[in-house]
Amino acid sequence: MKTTRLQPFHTFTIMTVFLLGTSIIFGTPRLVEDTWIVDLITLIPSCALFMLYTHLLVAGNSNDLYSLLYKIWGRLLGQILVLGYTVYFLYIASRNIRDMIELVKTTLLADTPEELLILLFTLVIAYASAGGLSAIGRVAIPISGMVIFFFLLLAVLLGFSGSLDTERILPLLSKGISPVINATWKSTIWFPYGEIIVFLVFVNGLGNPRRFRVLGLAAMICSCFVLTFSSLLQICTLGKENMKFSVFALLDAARQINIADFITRMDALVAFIIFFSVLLKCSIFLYAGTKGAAFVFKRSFKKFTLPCAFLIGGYSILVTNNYGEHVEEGLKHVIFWLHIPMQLVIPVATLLLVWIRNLKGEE
Amino acid sequence: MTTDEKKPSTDINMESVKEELEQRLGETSDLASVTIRIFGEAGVFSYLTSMTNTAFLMDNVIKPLTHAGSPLDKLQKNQWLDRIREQYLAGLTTETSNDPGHFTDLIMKGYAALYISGMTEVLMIDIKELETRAVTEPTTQSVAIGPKDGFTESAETNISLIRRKIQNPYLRFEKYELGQMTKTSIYLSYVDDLVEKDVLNQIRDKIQERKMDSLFATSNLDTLFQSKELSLFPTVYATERPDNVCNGLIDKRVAIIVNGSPFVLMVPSLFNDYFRSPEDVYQWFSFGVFIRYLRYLSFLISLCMPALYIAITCYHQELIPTLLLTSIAAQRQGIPFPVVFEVLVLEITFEILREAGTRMPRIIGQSISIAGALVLGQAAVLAGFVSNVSLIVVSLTVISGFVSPIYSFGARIRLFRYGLIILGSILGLFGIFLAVAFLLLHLSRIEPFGIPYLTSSLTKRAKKGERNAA
Repeated sequence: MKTTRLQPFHTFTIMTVFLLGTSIIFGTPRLVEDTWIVDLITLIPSCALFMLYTHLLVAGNSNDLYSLLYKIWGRLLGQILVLGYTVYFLYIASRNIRDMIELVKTTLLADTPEELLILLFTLVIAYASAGGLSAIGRVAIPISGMVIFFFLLLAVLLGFSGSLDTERILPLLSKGISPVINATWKSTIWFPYGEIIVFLVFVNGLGNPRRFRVLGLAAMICSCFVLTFSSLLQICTLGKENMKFSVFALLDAARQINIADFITRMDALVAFIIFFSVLLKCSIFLYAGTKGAAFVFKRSFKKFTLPCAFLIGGYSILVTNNYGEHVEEGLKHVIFWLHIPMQLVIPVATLLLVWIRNLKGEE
Repeated sequence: MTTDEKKPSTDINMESVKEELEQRLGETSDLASVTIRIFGEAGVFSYLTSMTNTAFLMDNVIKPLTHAGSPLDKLQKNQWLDRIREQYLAGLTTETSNDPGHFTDLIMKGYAALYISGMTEVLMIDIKELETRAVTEPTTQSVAIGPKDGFTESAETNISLIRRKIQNPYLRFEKYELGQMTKTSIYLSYVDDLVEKDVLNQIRDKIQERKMDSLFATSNLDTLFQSKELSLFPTVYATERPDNVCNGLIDKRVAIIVNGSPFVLMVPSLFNDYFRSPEDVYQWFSFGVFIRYLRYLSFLISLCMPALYIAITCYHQELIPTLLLTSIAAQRQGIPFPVVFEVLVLEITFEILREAGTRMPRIIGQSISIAGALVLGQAAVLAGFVSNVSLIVVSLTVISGFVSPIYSFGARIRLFRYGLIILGSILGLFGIFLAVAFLLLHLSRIEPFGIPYLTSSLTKRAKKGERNAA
């Protein structure tokens, strides 16, 4: 008996790395000072959101998002929605590439034309995504190992350089609890946790919805702790003020490493972490996107891989003029116009429709 | 017996047998046709002198037959052959045939044809007795501790070496013949209650479908078992060591023995296999594990080291501690070439040295090491041609490349290294990340015989599968 299903451990790692992805470097959006509390608190509503997603699948008696949308909304609307999600996934992927390229340009290669870097990167992503879920799942394990190892290494090196000062965490909640709750509600829940909606596309390959729910929750809790730890690390190294104005907080933290004037400037480690986690994240988005296109146009998803990859690459250059604009867009407009509709409104509406249909069916 | 029912399809007599043989084999000098007399009947005895030796023939066939006392008068003539087989040649493999094509084939394999006049069939007796190389220590995969026997060119010896180690009734050897011209025998070996049936069937199909003219070594079969998709890493494991093969057989693999080759193939092979030596388990456990991880490390060194060196010295000098940086810069002072060029020249020089070392006659091997070590190494640095650091980096890389217990694996890495060097020199660390990511993805995409290349062992995989299903 041959199945293409991933083993549970693969599913877990693939989701954890996905969630850590870009956020381990860029941090959860820094709207308030006590980011680590935001990180912790967000876990609760995001888990609720995730339960909503899995409930949607169970209630709709379906194993993937696309066919569910198609079933519930009918042919025309279903196709439009599936295409909408496809575009949405590809768009997030291109934003992620832009994030990564910005970091690479500041740390590694200041003068190399970014078009070349992006072209090569998209080719690698296309190769990953064409391998399908099983290839991505298998590669997730070494990648998660490396990402977590290097992250811990950073923490240890920071500790040894004496840059960590736990007093920098204080004062706690200087402006009360409401800004923290607000930040949770306005941003962190949608990024990174809400993006987990992409996995709904291939629940079929990950196991049944029940196992998917358990593994997904485990991955969310695990990555929540890593992210909280990362925020704490940044605060302890940089202090609240510096962190607020820092573009790449973890990178700035890593630059504080200095052990006996021998191990210094660990920028490359940070670049390594971001490179591999973005690689994985983008290939998942690309795979989900091509699946959507394949679903609508009834062709093999592999036919869409290369064109979509180039689309992502090209769009990552066009998406914004400069990094400031990029961040501003990401924190305000994308959340309001894309994340909230795609991650909350459509799923909730679908769920309502499912309930109505189920009620009718019972009568 | 069955001979009673058989009707001779062609009339066979002494002359026709002789004629057939002469016609089919021509005037080859190693064909012997001897006239002998058995129980008063004239007979002809034909065999290839090149496939046996006279002493064996005399002791085991001619003596028993000619000393046979009891006349066979009481028996029907068509029962003679059975009596001879049962009574006088009981220890030898024999069969009867009346098809000239078939018995010529058998003669080629080392059978002797015995025809007694008046019989309807020819008796074929296996008298193959060949000189074989003694079982010696393997030359390409040596271990310090552990069994010292290695496979030889004879498939029978190799089979026996495996059987000696696995005395299990489920151990099977399946015989096939490949090669239109050479009729080489190859054997599939597996443990019947362990092996993955799916893999075994794929291998059988591949062997039966395959048409080839000649087959002299297992390496000819490599292409047969490579997966159809692009695969930069070897997926067929060739080994000289019986203990390696036995480990594989216990871990659900299939071994392929080719007559005439001292290398036995194992499929499907996984990435981990190329880092395992049987010696790991013959010594203190912790040390074995340490050595195994050291091999992975040296794989990484051999793959990335020169590229990292180039990338860091050209693009990311800030990563090097200041003191070291100044010392590297001081050494490179006065060297006219960019680092990439320096490293590439050194790498290619080492490749040439290595190739010359393997191909040249053993006796003049000394001169290579003198020319290589002294002239190329030391003098190149003194002449200001290359820097000491580059020389150190390249030497370490080259040595690390030979750590893999399987030679063919190291050979492939050497090629990837050049790719990495070029990427590293154009794109710095980013290029190396790209290459590493590509190789990782590639590794996770290869599936020889449907088994992911990155699986650690087939036994563990099967256990995991059972747990998942439950």
